[in-house]
Amino acid sequence: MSIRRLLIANRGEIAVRIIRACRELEIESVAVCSTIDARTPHARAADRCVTIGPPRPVDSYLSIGAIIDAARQTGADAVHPGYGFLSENPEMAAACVEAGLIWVGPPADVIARLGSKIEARRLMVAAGVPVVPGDTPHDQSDAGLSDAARRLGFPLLVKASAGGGGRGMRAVGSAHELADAVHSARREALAAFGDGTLYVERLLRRPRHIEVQVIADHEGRVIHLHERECSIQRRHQKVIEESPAPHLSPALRARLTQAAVTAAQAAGYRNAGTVEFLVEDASDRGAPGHDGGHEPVVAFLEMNTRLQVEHAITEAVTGRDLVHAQLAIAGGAPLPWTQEDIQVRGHAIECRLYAERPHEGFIPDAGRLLRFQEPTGPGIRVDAGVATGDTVSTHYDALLAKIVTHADTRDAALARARAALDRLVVLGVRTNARLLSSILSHPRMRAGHVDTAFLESEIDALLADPAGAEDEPGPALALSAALAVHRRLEPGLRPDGSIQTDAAVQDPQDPWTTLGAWRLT
Amino acid sequence: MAADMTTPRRPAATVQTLTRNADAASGQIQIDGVDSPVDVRRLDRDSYEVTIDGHPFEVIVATGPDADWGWVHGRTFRWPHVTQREGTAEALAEDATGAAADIASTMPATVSQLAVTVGQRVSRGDTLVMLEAMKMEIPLRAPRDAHVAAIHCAEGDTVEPGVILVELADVDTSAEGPDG
Repeated sequence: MSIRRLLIANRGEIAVRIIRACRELEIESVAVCSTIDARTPHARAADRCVTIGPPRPVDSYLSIGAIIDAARQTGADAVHPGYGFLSENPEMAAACVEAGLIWVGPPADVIARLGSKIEARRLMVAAGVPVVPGDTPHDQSDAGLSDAARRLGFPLLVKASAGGGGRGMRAVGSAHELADAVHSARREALAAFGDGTLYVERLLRRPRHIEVQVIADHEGRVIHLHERECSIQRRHQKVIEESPAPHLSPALRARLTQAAVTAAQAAGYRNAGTVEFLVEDASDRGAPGHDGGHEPVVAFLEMNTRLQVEHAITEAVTGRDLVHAQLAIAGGAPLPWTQEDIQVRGHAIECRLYAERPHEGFIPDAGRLLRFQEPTGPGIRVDAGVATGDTVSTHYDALLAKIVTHADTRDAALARARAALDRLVVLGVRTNARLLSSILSHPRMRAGHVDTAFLESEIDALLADPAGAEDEPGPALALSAALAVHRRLEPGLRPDGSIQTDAAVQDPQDPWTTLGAWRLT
Repeated sequence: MAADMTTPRRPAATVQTLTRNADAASGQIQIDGVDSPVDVRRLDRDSYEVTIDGHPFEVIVATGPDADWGWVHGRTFRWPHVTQREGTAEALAEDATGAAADIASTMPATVSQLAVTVGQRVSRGDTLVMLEAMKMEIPLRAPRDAHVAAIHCAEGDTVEPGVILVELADVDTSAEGPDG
C-alpha cells in the first residue's frame, strides 16, 4: 500500500526537504504550521497547509491531537515526523497507527525501547554491542548517585535517562562538582522530559562522535549506509559533520558498521535510523597504535529512531535518497538496495547555519531576514527552511539552513564549503557563518584530526579575527559608500521593506539629478 | 554592550554626485580616509558595485529596525543605528537612570531557575534568573551591585520578550532612604 498523501509533522528545512521528495515521487504533500509560520517556505511548498495552533510548540508541532486531526481533515494516509518535535515520541507513532495512518518510522515499541537510555543500553549489552561503562543507581537520591559516581570514577557524565540533544547532561571532573551537576541535570531533565531519573557514565577522553546510518525493511533486512563524523559539537549540538569519517582504518570502519547493523537487528528496527558511537583513539592516550595491542575504544551512545539533520552528507556520498527510501519502506516495499549497492564516492561536508550570536555566549538571535541568499554551484546543496522576508522566531530551533558540499576528495569538499560560505548572504539576523568558516580553515580541521572537545577548547581562537581581516579597510569603506547611495535612492525606506510615499520626492524618470553634499553619520 | 566582532568602525561617507534614471543609478562618494572619490553603481535594488582605487567590491545592503546590514565579498557587517539601543537586559538596565534597574527577558523563554529572593544583595555579574529557550540555558545577570527590589516571575513560567522579571534598586539608596 504505497503512500498517496503525506502529512509532514514538522517545519523548517526538514519539512521543505520532505515535501521535495513528495514532489519527486508524485505524492501529495500536506504541511502543518503554527500561526506564525503560515507564510514560511515549508507552508508554501506543500500542496496544502493546515494551521494547527499557536506558536508555542506544545500547542502546535508537539500537539499529537492537532496533527492527527489535520491528517484526518485532509485525507492524508501517512505521517512523516522529520526530526525533533514528535519524531521520537512513541505515543505519536501509536496515535498514527490507531488513526489508520502510516507512520514513517519504526513502530512505537521500538521507539520507546531505544528512547530509554537505560533500556537501550541493556539491549545493546545483550546483543554484544560495546557500551560505555556506567550505572543507573536504584537509589536516585543525591547520596545514591554519589555512591554510583565514586564506584565508576571521575571524570564522568551525569545524564537524564529520558534525555537527548544534550539536555539533562552534565560533565563532572571531580567529586566536589557532583552535587551541582546532579541538581541541574535533574532540574533540566524534569523540565524537559518530566522524568528526573539520572545515570552516571564514564567520560571518555577526547572521544570522536561517529555514527552509522542504517535502514531496515519490514522483513527485518538491515543495511548500513556508512558512517558520519560528527565530532564538531558545542554543548552536544552538532555544528559540522562529514562523511566518510577521516583517518578511519578499514578494520575500525568495519567494526562500527557491523555493530550498527547488529544494534538495529537487536532492536527489531524498521525504516531509517542512526546508531551513534563514541570512539576513543588509543593513540590519543599516548599508547603506541601500531603494535596491535591498543584497539580504539568503541562504545554505543544511542540510537536515533528517525531521520537525522545530517542525512544529506550520506545522500551525497552514496548517491541514495534516504527520504525516498523511507517513504517506500513505510508503504510496505522491501529495501530498495542491497548492501553491495551502497558504495561511497568522494567526500561530503555539512555546515549547520544557526541564528545565534557566537560572540555573546551563543544566545539565539531572532528578527526579520532582510536578505537570505543561498550559494549555488556544482557540488553545493543548501537545505533551507527560511527565505528573504521571513521572521526568525526564538520559539523554534535556531537551525536556518544546512550547507552541504560534495567533492572527489576531503580537501576539495572543505575548499568548496569555504567558498560556498563566502557566497552565503544573511542580513537581518546574526548567524554562526563566520565561525563555520573559521572552523573549516583551522589546521586541525584541515588535517582531519578533530574530536568532541575540539570546538570548546579552540573556541576563543576560532572567534578571534582570523588573519587580521578586520584591519583591512576596503570592505567597510565599500559598504559605507553603498549605504550612503542607498539612503539617497530610497529616502523613505522603512525597515520592513515598505516605502514611505511622502518621502519619495524624486521623479524616477528624471535622468540626471545632481544632489548637494549629504553626510551619512 | 560590546560592538560585534564583525563590526569595525563605520567610516563617514558623503554623497558628492548622484545620477539616476528609471533602472540605473551611480554616484561618486567621498569617504573619510580615501583620497579620491569612490564610484558606486547600483546593480539591483539592494546590490551595488563599489570601486575603490580601481578595486571593485560587490556589496549587498539592508536596513533593519535597529541596524544597517551589509555583505561585502563574504563578510557580513552589522552597524547598529546610533540612536537605538539593543533591547538586551544590560541595555535596559543601563537605560534606567538612577537607582532602579529592570531586568527583562530578551526572548520567549521559560524561567528554569530563580536565583535570588526579594531584598537580597547582588553583585555585578551575579546570575539573577536562568532562562531556557531553544535547548539553551541563558543567564540574566545583574548589571551592577544592587539589591533585589521585586520579582515578577516564578520557576517554570513562560515569559515573553520585554516583560520585566526582576527589579533592582541601588544599594545605597535603599540603605539610606531618600535624603533631604
